[in-house]
Amino acid sequence: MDMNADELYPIAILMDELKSEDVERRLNAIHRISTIALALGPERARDELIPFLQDSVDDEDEVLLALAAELGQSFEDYLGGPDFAYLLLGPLETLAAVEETLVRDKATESATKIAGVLNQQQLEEYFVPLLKRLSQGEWFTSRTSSASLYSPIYERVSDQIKEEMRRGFTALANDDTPMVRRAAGKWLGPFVEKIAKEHILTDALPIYRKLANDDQDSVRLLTIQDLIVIAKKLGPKDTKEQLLGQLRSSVSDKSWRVRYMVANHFVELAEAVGSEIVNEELVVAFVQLLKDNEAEVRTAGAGQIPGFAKLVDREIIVSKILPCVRDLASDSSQHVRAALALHVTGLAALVGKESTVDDLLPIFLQLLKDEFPDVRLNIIGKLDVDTCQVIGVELLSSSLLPAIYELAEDKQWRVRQAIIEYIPLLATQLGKPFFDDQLSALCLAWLGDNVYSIRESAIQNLKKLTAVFGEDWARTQVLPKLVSMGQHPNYLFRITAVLAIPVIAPILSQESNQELMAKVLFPLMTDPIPNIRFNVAKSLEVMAQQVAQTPEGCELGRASIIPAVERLKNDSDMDVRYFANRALQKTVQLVGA
Amino acid sequence: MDSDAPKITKTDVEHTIEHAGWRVQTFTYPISNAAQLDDIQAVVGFPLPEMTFGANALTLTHLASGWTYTFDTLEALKGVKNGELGDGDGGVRVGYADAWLKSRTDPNSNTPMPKTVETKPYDWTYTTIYSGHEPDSSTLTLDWRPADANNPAHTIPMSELTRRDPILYYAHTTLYDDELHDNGESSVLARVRVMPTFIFVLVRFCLRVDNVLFRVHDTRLYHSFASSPPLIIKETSGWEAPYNSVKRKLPDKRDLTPLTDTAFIATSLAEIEGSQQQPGVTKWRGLGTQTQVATIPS
Amino acid sequence: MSELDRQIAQLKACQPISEAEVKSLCLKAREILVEEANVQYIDSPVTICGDIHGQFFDLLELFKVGGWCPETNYLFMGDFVDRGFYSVETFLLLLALKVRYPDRITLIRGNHESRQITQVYGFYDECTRKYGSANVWRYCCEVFDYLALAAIVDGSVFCVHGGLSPNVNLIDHIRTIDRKQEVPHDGPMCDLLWSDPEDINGWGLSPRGAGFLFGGDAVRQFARANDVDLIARAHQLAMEGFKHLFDRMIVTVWSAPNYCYRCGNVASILELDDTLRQEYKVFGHAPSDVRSVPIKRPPAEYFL
Repeated sequence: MDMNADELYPIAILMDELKSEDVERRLNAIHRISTIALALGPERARDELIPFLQDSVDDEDEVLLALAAELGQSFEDYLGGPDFAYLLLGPLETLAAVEETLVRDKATESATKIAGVLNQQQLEEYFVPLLKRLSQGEWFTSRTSSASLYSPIYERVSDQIKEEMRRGFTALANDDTPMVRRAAGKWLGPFVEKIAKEHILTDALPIYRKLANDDQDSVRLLTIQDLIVIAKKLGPKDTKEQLLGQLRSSVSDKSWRVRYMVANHFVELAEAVGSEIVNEELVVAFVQLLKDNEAEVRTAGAGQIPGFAKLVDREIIVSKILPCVRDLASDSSQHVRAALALHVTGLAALVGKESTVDDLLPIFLQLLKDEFPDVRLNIIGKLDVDTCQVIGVELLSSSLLPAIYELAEDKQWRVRQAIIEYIPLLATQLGKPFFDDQLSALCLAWLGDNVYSIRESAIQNLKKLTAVFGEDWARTQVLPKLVSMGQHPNYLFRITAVLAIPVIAPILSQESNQELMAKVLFPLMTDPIPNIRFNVAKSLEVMAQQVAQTPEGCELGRASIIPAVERLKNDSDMDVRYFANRALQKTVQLVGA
Repeated sequence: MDSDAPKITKTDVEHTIEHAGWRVQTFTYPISNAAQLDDIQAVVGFPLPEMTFGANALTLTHLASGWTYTFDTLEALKGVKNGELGDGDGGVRVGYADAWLKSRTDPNSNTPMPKTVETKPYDWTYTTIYSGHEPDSSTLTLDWRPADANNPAHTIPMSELTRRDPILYYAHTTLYDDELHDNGESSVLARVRVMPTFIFVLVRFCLRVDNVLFRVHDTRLYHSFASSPPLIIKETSGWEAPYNSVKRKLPDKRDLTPLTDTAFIATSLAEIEGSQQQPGVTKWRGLGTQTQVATIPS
Repeated sequence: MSELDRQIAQLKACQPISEAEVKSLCLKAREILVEEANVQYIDSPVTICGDIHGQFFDLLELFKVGGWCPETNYLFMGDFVDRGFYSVETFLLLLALKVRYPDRITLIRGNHESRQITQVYGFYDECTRKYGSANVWRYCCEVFDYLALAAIVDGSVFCVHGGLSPNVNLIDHIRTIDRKQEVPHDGPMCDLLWSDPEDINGWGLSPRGAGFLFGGDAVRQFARANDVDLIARAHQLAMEGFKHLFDRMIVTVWSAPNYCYRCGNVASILELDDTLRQEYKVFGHAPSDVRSVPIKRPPAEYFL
């Protein structure tokens, strides 16, 4: 092969692959264009590859998407650096006009990256004309794409071009095609971020008003985020003068999707407009959204409750928001109640103890008994230390415990699991005597649950409780239970006892562990169920690690653990032999032969 | 401003829109439980599809008149032949049926046929030409008449259907689905979209019997909000073709997955010559296209 | 940790193992399976499971309810693959557990463990998509040919994927089948994997033109002749996760909740304790926040 042919090789292969019938191959070829560009060197990459790619923009969307992405990954490095980055705009302009949205979005994303490496002169010479062509494209796809390209370059061009750009964006907002107006609505916010305040008043506000009053709700709903950005830029005084009317009409828009957007961004909106408007307007608006006809709106509103409550006086929370919260707790939609359950505890710290007890606690209890498991799960997970402290131990026990008992037997095992995970927290709040009185029995009963994961969680729970209440508690509550389970006629109880031992052994004393070995593990070495026998071997391995910490323990290990696993090593079951062997090796390592 | 913004409500099992004087409701429940299945089976009299969504339905109601039209599972199943299959029922057997029977009846067979009892005859492919019905709750029974081929208002306007106007409401629901014991698939899927200017429904029965045939029966319902008095167009079409004729249309011969895609099957059948004409593959009576219209009296 | 333990951990996280690892795993599996009888004898306690169909995250849910292997002994009655989105991970995890703990888990063959069926119902497609070639599918199909056809627990609970065959009156007849082949279209091996119970007396022909239906009489006769108390099978969807027929002589166990990600059914597993007491544990599908259903392209809303 001569030199010349060798040089031609990469581009020839690429061309071949790109012409392949097989999409996979064309896709692979696109993913390799940077390698090919590198092989060609900057000059030929500029002169041959780029024009070739420009011509290739007629393929499956999947391939085009890959191309749009590749061109944005610092591809100019292969063309000779940022000075030549503008060359990439050609193929990207074409890609920004195709029908598939994913491709267009990726193309404009890549074009935005390229804008970042162009200097002002290049921007004005190459990028601005591209933006103009796209903005005035015949087909709506290119006009849609253009909307995203205003904000990245606005600050970096001359005042005259800035003015043209504001006019260009105005035209997009007035486009006949809803898709283009939607794009304008989506990108107005980022554009406004870059515009000087005087031009916000003269240009951006009219654009915003036009879009916010669009006859398509899919356009209007996108202006909520624009409103937030504009309000932030204008400050409270101008916001009040310029935006109040529009704010009101968005809150009571005929389309629930617009109201949903307002509700979903309510805290952000409230923070942007300042406390005066919050108190004069938004409290009423918020109450209105929480009572909206559409469940989706109420769901979104429920998620904003604690965040919004932080921005208003306690007085207002109690008099205006709490009555709505009460209604939402009995909402007909389970999704609304689930959203409320996830957020409502955030109010406790804001309203103080008295109101928490009088107003919120009944709501918590109601949600804990909700018929829909997600509601129950959400509220259990949110009853944290802070909330418990606000409520206080006595009330907690008298009001919450009945609900806990009920949930402890919930049909859904994940609800039971959530309750178990909540128990250690409750234990620290209630204290030992109270806990033993009320909850110990429950915790031990979970060891016999018919779902494996619950038994597993119950074991973990005992370990956590032992950490809270100490070894003595474990000796009086846990050990006798494990011993009796180890002698139970049902093998599931026996195996659970064996599985519990390696979990809690590390936080028990030598004495307790010896007792567990003698009364649970050793007797079960001859259990008829092989699964129990090999778990005895596994447990003995963990026990060896515990005893090995003291010389007396090592002696114990040699005297009792090693002979035990030696015996299991000759078991008839293969798995028992395997785990006994492993335990033997470990034990000998730790305590010596 | 949109003074008549559509009112849409949606839960996990029910999706409803009220727009331009119509209510469109779609129900999407889980498959029926044992008790519900027993009730349905008692009515239709044959073993039910493996996935019978007994509570699913698609319902259109003209609010001013109370005229209601429904597609539901029970009625779709009532369209399945119960009993011995005869002419026009389009009965088929699985691809390897002959070989199987031969292996059992051959005098030298190692596995001779046992004494068997009569099993209930029914169309195990669950073929139905059900095209919706007016339920008891409908206040009116419309007079359906053949469309006038020369009247452009009596055809479903493809140009309007293909226009990418915003979709106000889209929903789909499966009435039943059965994989024919891994010999293919039989399903009825109802879809609806409400657009700014019209309602369009497509209910498609689609059947694949591996190595035997493909069969589709479509019911399309179209109503333009501009028609006055309100006009409903109902178009029903049936196609069938041998399995291999559709298989030949695969873009990649190794990849058989398009054969499980009802859109691919329907498009392919429409391209195959003779797929709508008798005798088709089985002389099935569902072949061909019929268009009917009805107006709602004021 | 041994290589196999690492592979099991990786598969539990729903990450496929490499093609070379699959090849060696399948070879080891065949060495173990070739030693198993057509009807595998197993001891109680054991948890019996029905169809899984590639619903990997629901299989994890099954283990969370029933316990992990090897702590719990399992019998899976086939149809591990097809239809769900994770047949590869599902089958390889079960197979890796089989190789690691051959005495703790038993896999018997379902009608989907077949070359022909998997080419139509997704497993072939998934293998080529995830591995770029059909090699993994081929390795797995070779393993399918070695899977046992049935199992019997403590000599009195007969377990099979589909049901009975008119040519199998005694369990001993199954032993004479040469099972190491693709599932045939006829004969007793086909019947065991394909047939269904139906409310008839004795035997009936399927209206499809191939295959058998068996009635209560056939079940009672088989049970009497083989001294069997219960027949457990899978193969058919049950909204409630399991379904008894013929005075509880036979039960269908179904272990794929929300089958095909849209049926809304619950699933179950059957726990037989060391006294063969039956307990059906019903469970729902994995919570939707886990990666149980991949994002698909939105449906064609502009249908015509």
